[in-house]
Amino acid sequence: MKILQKTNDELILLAVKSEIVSKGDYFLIEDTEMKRDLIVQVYNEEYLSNQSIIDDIVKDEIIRATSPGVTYDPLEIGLLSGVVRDSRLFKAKIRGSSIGANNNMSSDITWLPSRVNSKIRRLTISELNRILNRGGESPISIGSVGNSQDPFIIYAEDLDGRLNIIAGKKESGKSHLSKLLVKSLLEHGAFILVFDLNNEYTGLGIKPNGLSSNVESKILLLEPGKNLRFSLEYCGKPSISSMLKNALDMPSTSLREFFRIWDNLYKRHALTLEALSNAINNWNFNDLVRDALISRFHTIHNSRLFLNDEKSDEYEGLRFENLISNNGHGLAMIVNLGTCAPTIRHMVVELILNKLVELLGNDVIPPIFLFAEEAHLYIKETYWDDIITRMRHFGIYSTFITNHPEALGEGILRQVDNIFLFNFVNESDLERISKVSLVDKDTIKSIVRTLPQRYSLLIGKMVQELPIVVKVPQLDIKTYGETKKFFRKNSPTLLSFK
Amino acid sequence: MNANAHLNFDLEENLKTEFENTFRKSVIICPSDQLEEILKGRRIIFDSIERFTVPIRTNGSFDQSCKMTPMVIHPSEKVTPVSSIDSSVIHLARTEEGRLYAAKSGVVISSGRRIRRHFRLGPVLIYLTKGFLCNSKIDHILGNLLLVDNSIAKRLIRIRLERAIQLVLSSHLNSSIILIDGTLRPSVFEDYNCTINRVIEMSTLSNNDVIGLSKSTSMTILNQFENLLKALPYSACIDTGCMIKSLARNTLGNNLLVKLGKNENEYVLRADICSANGNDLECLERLIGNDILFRSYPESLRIAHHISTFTTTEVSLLKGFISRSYGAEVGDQTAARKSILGVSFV
Repeated sequence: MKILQKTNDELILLAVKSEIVSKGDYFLIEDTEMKRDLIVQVYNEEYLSNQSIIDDIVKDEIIRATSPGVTYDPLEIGLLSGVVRDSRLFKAKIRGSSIGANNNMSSDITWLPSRVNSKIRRLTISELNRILNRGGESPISIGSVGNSQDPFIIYAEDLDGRLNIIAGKKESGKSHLSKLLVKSLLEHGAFILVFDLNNEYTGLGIKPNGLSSNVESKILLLEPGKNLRFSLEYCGKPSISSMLKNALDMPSTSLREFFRIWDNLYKRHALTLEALSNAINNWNFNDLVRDALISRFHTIHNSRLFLNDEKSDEYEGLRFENLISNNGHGLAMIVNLGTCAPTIRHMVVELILNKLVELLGNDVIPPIFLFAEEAHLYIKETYWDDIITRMRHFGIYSTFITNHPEALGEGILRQVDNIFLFNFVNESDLERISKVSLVDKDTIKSIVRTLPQRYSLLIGKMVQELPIVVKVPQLDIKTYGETKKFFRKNSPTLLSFK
Repeated sequence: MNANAHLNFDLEENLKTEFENTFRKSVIICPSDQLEEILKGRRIIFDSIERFTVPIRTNGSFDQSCKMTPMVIHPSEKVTPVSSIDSSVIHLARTEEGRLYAAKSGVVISSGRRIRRHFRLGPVLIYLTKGFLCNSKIDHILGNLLLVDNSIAKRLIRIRLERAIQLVLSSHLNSSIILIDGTLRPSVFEDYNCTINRVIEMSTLSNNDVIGLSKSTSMTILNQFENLLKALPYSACIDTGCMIKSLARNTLGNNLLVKLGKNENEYVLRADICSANGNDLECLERLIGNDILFRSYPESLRIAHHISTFTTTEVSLLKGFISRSYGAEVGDQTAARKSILGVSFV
């Protein structure tokens, strides 16, 4: 491999076909005379093409197409010509430099390595880690680097206190990675809340052979209306207020009247659904307000999210602090939103997030990792910025999983710390991601467009701003959430259903 | 034996080694496996400047009694293999002892208006030194000329290479047409054992016809017949033998001007024909019935030309191959003028 050209922060490297390079691979250009090294990343490949080579190929193809041929080439120039025609140019971005491979990376790229004397060699992931000085106490093995078998590790600390996005087109492997992260964080004793739209995270507790996985005891499935029910008193006025305002679109006048009723019942220690219903029906206020309150009350009542009277019921309702204190070694609370109506989903998410913020604000529970699949389906866009900016400070560290980055507001994207990018071909999605990420547009567009399934481009603080392509490994858990198909081998046919 | 059987029988892969052997005998080529020994450590200078020579036009008089009546050429249905040969030679490098050339040749076989097979021969390296020339049968004056004039050396190699191929084809094929790019004329550059006369003799014995097609001629006097042929709405020819023979003594066969096509924009070519049965018209009829024609020029000859030409990449590869494989020391290629004046190195 040789350096051919340099334009701005980009080098063009010439290589023959036998030098197998994948997009995303890192190379070290060692200038032996200057004793300095340049770290570059290949982001695109092209054929070496000039008019002479094109003429050769066209001429050859035309001759070959006309008739079968016999070649007598004693010098085997034809073979050499094949090598030249198959030569390729690798476009590489300069990511930094170092003085000797054992030293830390610097951003000084104001020098040029020698085209003649420089040696170019592939940078192993361990060397890259050494140069970047990466490390941590809670490793998460996220797969292997590109096509090599070098394992790649990120650290749970890199996700701690950060906003992360897992984005990619349908069936590219987003949920797979998300499950890997949840499982790994659980193994490190983290507390996790997952908003599960497709009821696929419960498989984390089961191995493919049906046996329990090592995190089985740390998985808790919460089903709204079943084991996810709260007492009104536990939820408190702020959570209920937020739910009514954001999920049920209650007007402010009606909200004010509702709080008067709430305060009254609270003072009398009679905060039950039945008492609330009676109060709304008998309270002295405008009929329009009454209608508004009645309709919301019915929605709340029908959601089965609230207990009628926790004192008379045996079940006191879900209490996050109890769950967390009873599972000190980590817990993943999987909230199954798949079976809920859209309004109930909104209510659940509002209630939970507000309650968690309250608990975190009072230091009742430790920080919690939030995994939200297709968040735009259950949180209003205008509300996202608030979630991101507020909750991060309280201790809710969000990871959004989406195939629709355009649905994530620019406010979110601009605050992202880590991005796990899977394959995208849509130009506007790529444009949006590349606008806000810390990596140049060329790298994102070129690499992401051609990523195979389960390959992800890691960008952000977890990789110290050096984009890395990893292959996410198979998980030793039961995979739920696969698309059901009618025309699949051994699938039950319509006839067998009958 | 029918034409397809001919192709299957005669055009086996081993034909290429026969081409090589005949060429080795006719040109004093240094085999590439010996070049390593010969060139090792020698100072070698690759040349990029090609020089061309321009043929001198002659204005002769001709016999006014020659009758110029166009003859119509009707395509013949008889399947006949048409073998076209072309080659090219480039000057690659020079050493203190001699010059190094590379040659390539293309042979294309067509029949039934389809291209049936092609042969790519080369590139082969030819190293001409005083030592080699002394051991050959080449006249010493010509030998000295070869060492100083590239164009003459290239012509010699080209003629010998082509003759070698033509001789092999003429002995291996039966009832076919051998198409040569250029006129049928003996040359001082031919090897004694491999002359055009021998090719024609062998062809006649094997019932093959030999046609030499020239795209242009220096005999400007022939131009006056072009319009006559172009005006005809069919393939036609004019016998210009008496005129050509009065201008050039050593041409072989019958000399015709031909237009191989119906359109007005077809080129008029000079065709020298040595047909085995003496029927030139029938020979041309079989040619246009078995080859594809474009602007009056046979497609097989066109493809043979393209196969034989060197591309820039090939030349670069050959130079790289020589300096790497033979361990020759590459001299300074930069012309003194450019170097001194500081203009572009390329």
